[in-house]
Amino acid sequence: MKCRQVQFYLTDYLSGNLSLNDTRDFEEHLAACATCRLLVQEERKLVTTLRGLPTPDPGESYWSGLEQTILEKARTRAASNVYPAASPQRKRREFPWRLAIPLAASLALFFLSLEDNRYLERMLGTGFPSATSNAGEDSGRATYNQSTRSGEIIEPDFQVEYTLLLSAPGLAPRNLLMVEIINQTESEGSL
Amino acid sequence: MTKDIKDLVKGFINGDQEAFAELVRRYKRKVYSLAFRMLGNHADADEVTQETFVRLYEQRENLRTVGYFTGFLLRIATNYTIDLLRKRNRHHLSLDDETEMTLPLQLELSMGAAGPDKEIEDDELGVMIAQAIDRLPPKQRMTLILHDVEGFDKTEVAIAMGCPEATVRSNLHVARAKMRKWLGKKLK
Repeated sequence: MKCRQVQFYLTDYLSGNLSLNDTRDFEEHLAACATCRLLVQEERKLVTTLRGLPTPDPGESYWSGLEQTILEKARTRAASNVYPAASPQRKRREFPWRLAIPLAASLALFFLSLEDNRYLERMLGTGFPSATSNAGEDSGRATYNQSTRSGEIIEPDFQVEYTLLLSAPGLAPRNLLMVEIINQTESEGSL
Repeated sequence: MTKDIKDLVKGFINGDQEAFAELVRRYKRKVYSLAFRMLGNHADADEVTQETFVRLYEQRENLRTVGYFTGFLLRIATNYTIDLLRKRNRHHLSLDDETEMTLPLQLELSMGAAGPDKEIEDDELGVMIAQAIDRLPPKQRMTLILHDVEGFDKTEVAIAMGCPEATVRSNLHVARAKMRKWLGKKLK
């Protein structure tokens, strides 16, 4: 057993709820580890003191009439079905829209304004059609190969169907305002 | 003859008022003690005790599907206590409330055959422990009180707190670690 496990099993050990095997492992660890021995000693003293705290007792005069008071109160409540005004009902926490909406808008702006969209480049790779001369809309299907660092081309790994909205001529692919990936499928060698 | 809890609960569900009164008799001290330790004054502890049993009375039909009566009762008490604790900021209690809070909590630990020095030490430790418990966040405090002070087992505490046993274990671990840190050398 390790120190972290000792911490985990400590409550069960002190309550006597640990299995025989785990107790043996636990105590073997304690015999070898001074830090855990100290931890167990402190925790045992804490728990013993907590168990020994005196029970609050308002006196027999309070206890003697309590059942009757409660019973009468319960019957009255049942008859009138009225809850006390001071009765605290647990409130559901409202979703923090005031914080969430500006945060979502900021995040959206941040991602839209990213100059270097690496994900887009990785998805579209070198086969991305040139946008230097065309404005308007373009769409098509392409299969992209992966290549290793040494230049060796390996199996095609995905297929992309795309629609490009070319906002202006002369923009590099990474500067295109919108690229909608229609479909992305894993290649199974049949592409 | 002493009836066991299951019979009393069954009788209570079927409308036996005496069974309800007996359940109140058996659990009133536990509920009061829990509430008092959490809230620190008699008035609030009394309110929680009465309200818990009144709510139990109202929810008796739900008891048909409940496995652990103790956990169910503690759940009502726990929810009401935590709500009350949130509602009433204890730091703004009046001086009268403070007097009321400390008087019943005279931490006269049972000293046994210990000598006077040992008595003073234990008394100090008891007071420090009570203050340290007060510093814990409500859920950790509730877990520590239910498990370590009142002696309920993890399953009952989990039902009472409405959380998994793993959360009870974790709350207990954190609460005890804080207590050890605050009490420092007193525990060595």
